[in-house]
Amino acid sequence: MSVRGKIINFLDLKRNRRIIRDSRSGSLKRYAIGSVLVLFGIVIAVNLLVGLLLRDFQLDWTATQVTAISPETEKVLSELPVDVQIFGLFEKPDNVQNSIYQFFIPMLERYEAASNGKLTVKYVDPDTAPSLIAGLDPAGMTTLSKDTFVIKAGERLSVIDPYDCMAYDSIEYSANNRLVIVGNRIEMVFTGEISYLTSGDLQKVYFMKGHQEFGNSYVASILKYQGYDCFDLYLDESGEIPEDCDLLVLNLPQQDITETEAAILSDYLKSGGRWIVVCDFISVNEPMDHINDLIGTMGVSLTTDLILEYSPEHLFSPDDNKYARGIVSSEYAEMFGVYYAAVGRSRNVRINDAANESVSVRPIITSSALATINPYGVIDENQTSQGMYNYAVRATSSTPDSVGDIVVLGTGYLSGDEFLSGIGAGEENARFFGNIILSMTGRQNATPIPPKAIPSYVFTSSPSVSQQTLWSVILIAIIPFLFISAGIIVYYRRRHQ
Amino acid sequence: MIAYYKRELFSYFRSPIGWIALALYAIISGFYFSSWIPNGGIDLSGEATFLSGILFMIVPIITMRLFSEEKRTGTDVLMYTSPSNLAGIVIAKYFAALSLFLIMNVVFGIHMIIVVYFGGRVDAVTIGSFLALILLGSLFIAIGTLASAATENQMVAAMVSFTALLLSQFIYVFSAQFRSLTVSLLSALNVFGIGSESIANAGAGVEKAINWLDPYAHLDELFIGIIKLQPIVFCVMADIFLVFITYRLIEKRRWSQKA
Repeated sequence: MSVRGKIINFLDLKRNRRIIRDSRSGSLKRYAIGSVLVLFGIVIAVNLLVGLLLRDFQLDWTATQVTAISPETEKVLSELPVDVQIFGLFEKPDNVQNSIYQFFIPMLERYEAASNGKLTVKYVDPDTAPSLIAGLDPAGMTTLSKDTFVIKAGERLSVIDPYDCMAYDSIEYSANNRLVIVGNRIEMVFTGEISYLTSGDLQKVYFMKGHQEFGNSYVASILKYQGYDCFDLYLDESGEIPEDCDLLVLNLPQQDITETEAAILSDYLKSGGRWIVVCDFISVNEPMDHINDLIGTMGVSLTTDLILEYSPEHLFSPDDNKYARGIVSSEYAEMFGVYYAAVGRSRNVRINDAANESVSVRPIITSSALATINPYGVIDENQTSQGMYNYAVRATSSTPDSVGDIVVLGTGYLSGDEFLSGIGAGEENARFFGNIILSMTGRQNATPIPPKAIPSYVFTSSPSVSQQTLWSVILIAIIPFLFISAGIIVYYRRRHQ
Repeated sequence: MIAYYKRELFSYFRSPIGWIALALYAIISGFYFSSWIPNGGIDLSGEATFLSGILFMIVPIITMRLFSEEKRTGTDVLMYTSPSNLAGIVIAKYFAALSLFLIMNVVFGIHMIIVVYFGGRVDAVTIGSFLALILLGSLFIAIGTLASAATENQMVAAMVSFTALLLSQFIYVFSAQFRSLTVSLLSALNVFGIGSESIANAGAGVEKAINWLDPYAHLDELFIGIIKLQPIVFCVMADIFLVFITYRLIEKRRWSQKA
């Protein structure tokens, strides 16, 4: 073969080899890319399938069963008469575990799942969707602010502040003015609001205002759950009690009612009105003359005597007689299934001897027979006044046309926000107060949804300072030092091998 | 494959890399734990959450030398010509790195024992958050393995995986930016008269699609003790996908050797 021929042959071989390699690598490349794309498709498909088919499968290992909903809530959600929309007016956070929303978002997903499509949950930043927000409340009846929840059912609207759904340590708040979350009432609040918004005619409770009353938002939320519409009433300004008022409540006023108010209330009670008066020594230790004149007609007096309990089994702490377990009378114990109620700094509510025949007065909560009464600030050292006294009393006065009904509470432990915000006794007391209202208005008990306590991670046997130092040294210094030493030894051994 | 797995795992302990990673992880987790002891209690799920935030520093140390070291020293030829399946080798290296990560988390177990000793609470939430930490770690190790296979330089591999893992913590920021960008573009180029609500929905769709890639968002509820199947499936499938891409990359390299 000539040189030219050999060169051409060589070039042809090289070209053929390149063609072979190129076609081989080309087909491998296509195969690789194709297989990656196919696997990507499978990954997406599997994720979508799992998301669709097994969406409801979950194990709630949270200590408070944060996503679990009670049978009561399931019943409400399964029987929704209208569509309900819940809007979270904030950008849904990516990391819920560092925010208060870790208690809300998983639970609301369960609400949505349990409602058979009747309830939807959306998260909308009001800054980016002002038109949607305006559409929620066209009439501008409510202030819709960021970081709140809005529940809408038809034309009715309700706004919920997340922080109002939590239960706080009342002792920490009183002592150090710090809000420490110890539980959540989210389910009760949300289910209560949904029931309230989707109910037909609601009974109406009016809370009297204008006397520097303490807060009653906790009681109001319980009443909403039980199917009551709650309003504020400035009686002195309005001059009348609304005709649709089913119950009037004066909750922990710090000053007496006026003469005008007393006159209006007198007519109200004579025409069969229902009134709850709560006044203890936390709010004020003044005699409430106008209130007393009014309730005196029903055979009841709110005294300025402080009840001190001396029965050891009824005291929370032997060092403080002002706080006790009040005994629920047999009539109400049978009705409510509760035998004791926490009370504190209570006025003695006296049943007057001169009660007339048309008035029936019964105690609701009493002390033991070992309690004493003391004019506030004066201790009865010799316990000469030892006996059984009333923390709460109910009086009904019947005329031919109507039955006036009053409940007088000498303790704020059943209705004041400060006492009810804690888990445990506070929640039971709030339920008790709700039951009193139910019995006055003739409604059926709604099974209450208990709040969920957050577990405590506090050590039961706290380490001493020396133990803390020891463990810190072990964890931060000794263990890492051992690892580093091993690494250095290994490095030098290999280097000198 | 088992032989490669053992070789790779023991090689971590025959060099300073494994010991340094163990020491670093122990210092950081020990520091967090010790800072809570004086408070009289600790929620270990919080520690798991904290550790998930520092994985972007730890994982590159573990994975940087998996494949890039082989390439640098020239021992990758042995890998290509080994009688073992190349896929098996890739899987073995991945599991060796994952095993080292699991060994590092023994300190978390020590913390649990200390908490129980002091009468604290170790509950199912702690276990759930630990599971989330392991799943996140496995995903990040898969990313690190891929970065190691993509380059022959250990430092480059470390930097690439460091950057990728750091950026994964800010996916929600990028998704919001992309949403704004999409809405702005569609509004500016609105030749079909699409309504503003549709444009907003398109933007939200883009944001949702990008957020789907965020591992922290998927594992969020796992960290607070709500065990769902979807996050576990997401992590496992993502691991498989990333390891498969690594395998394809190594295989491509094998077949592109000059004849």
